[in-house]
Amino acid sequence: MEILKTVFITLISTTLINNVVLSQFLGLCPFLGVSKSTKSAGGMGGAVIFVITVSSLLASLAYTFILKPLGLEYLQTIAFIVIIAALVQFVEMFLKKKIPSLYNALGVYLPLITTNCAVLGVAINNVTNFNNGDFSALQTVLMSVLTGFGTAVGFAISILILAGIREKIQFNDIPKSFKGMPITLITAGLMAIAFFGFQGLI
Amino acid sequence: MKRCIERLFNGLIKENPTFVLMLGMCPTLAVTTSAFNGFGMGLSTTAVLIMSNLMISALRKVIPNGVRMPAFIVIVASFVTIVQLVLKAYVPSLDKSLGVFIPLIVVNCIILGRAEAYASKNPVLPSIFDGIGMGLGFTGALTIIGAVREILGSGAVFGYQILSEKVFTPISIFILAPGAFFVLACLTALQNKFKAPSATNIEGEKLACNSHCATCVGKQSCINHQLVEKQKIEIAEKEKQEKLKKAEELKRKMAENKGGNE
Amino acid sequence: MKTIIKNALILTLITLVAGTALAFVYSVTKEPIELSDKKATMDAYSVVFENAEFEELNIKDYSDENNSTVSAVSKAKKEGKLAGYVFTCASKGYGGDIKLAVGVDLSGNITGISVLDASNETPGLGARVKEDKFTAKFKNVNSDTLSDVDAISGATYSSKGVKNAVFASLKYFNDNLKGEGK
Repeated sequence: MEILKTVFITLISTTLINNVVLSQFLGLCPFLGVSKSTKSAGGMGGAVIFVITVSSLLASLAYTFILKPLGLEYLQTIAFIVIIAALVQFVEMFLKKKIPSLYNALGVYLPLITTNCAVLGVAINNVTNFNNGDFSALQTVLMSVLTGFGTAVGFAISILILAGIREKIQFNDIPKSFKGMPITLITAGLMAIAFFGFQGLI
Repeated sequence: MKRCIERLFNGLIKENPTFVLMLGMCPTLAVTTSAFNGFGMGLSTTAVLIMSNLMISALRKVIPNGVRMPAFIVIVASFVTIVQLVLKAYVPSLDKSLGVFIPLIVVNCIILGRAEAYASKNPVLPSIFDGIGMGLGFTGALTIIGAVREILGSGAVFGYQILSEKVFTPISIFILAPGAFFVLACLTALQNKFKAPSATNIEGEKLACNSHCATCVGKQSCINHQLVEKQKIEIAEKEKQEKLKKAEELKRKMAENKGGNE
Repeated sequence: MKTIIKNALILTLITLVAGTALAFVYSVTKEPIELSDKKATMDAYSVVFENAEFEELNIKDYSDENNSTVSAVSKAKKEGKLAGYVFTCASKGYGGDIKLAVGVDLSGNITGISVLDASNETPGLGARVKEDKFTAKFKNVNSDTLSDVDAISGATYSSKGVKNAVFASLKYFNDNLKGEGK
């Protein structure tokens, strides 16, 4: 029961309360760039969920079982970025060969993810949050994966909402100077205000 | 020497990474809650940019083309870690308030973008100045955005209260997350209004990376740069043609008037 | 095949050099990093308990029902005599943990508090708990009058975090240390 409670609270707080884009400002570039249509936003969201979940697993494994025992914590940035870059490359090759249908849906978005700062940000945040001695090695890894998954779902939710709104306001009468990027930013700002409402949830 | 000064000017104004190229949006929005944080983030990025430009330009003939990207990433990541360690040791308060955004300098597209677009093709000295220019341009932009948000949000700049609370009620939303979006929205709207060429004015699809800087590493940022340049020329052309048109119309009208008179 | 080996070799070489350089910088900055943490804590201690010498006690980490924690306790001695205790405590604010140093005299009154870390709070709003204007309100407060301390308007979460952390320290004092040294 206790475990279920932790899982639930972690998911709610990572997806809604500390939404990765709207309150932590990670992964803004794809958020603003790939949100023109709900279809591409969905593809991006799916790809991000997949990559962040797997990369948080790999990064926390590397940290708890290699870097920490060897006292090489300061190499984390290099290690994580290399892991992420390699993972993305590998996933791309794997999908292309084995699951072409999924590759067609997500393929174009995969290379963009290497430099999505949300991926690296989540990995680093996990390490700082779950390595303070409160958790055993296994718990650290599990919590990292859970947090990674929740964060990525939060990203997918917010990019889908933004894409939906952008599709709706596409033909609205917007002041000329505000067309394009500015109105998107304002929409994102209003969404951020709306997401403040979740803060009372826990 | 002339080339070096040209590089400085280029980074500061002509191709300002934040306002013109629209690169590195995440730190731009996240750490500009106060002018000081923006300034600190800008300087840290500048330090990394200068060092990585120097190193990559020095090694440009050693690094084989095939492993260019991974090599750049490793070099940038090491410099970022060095900056992080130094900040932790000597400016711990800044390190704490910038938090995760220091290691995230690695994925800041400005750095890899400059490495690929400039440093890997040019000699060391201009590359260093390119780094200084771009870095200072970024620092300036972040400080300005931070200052605007700090004034509106708490009536202070760099922590000094300049508007007393009796005269001005702080609009605290501006130092919270949504305020970042609003300030940047207004800045880009102003750019659109005055038709200052920037990556945001060009139709998104035309930009090489579809207007998200996530992909804007390397070649793409060059292409974007060319697009911005092209747009500048197009605007100039358009204005010229409009002027010509107007002049012709004026002539015609005058001719018609004359004809009417006769 | 030959180019692959050559590429791999060059990449390995770059990584090795980078790793060595980092190890060097790490060893140089290691000491200042630890010192700067310690110095900040000691500075805060002497703010909350003036003119005293500190002697750290060995304690287990303690957390109360609000998840506020007390991570370190030091005896504060004046002229060799026990005058009170200084606590390092933390509680959740708006963006993350707020860390405080709290000084308590032998009768359970607060001699002063000082914020060690409020870097996750919003500058200009929550981060204002660091200002003297706010921390001065806690002077001479005890566990009965703590609830009367006013929060900063617009920074309810952060103020509550500070209060919770102070409360945890006072509770630790009342439960474990009260009556000693008298």
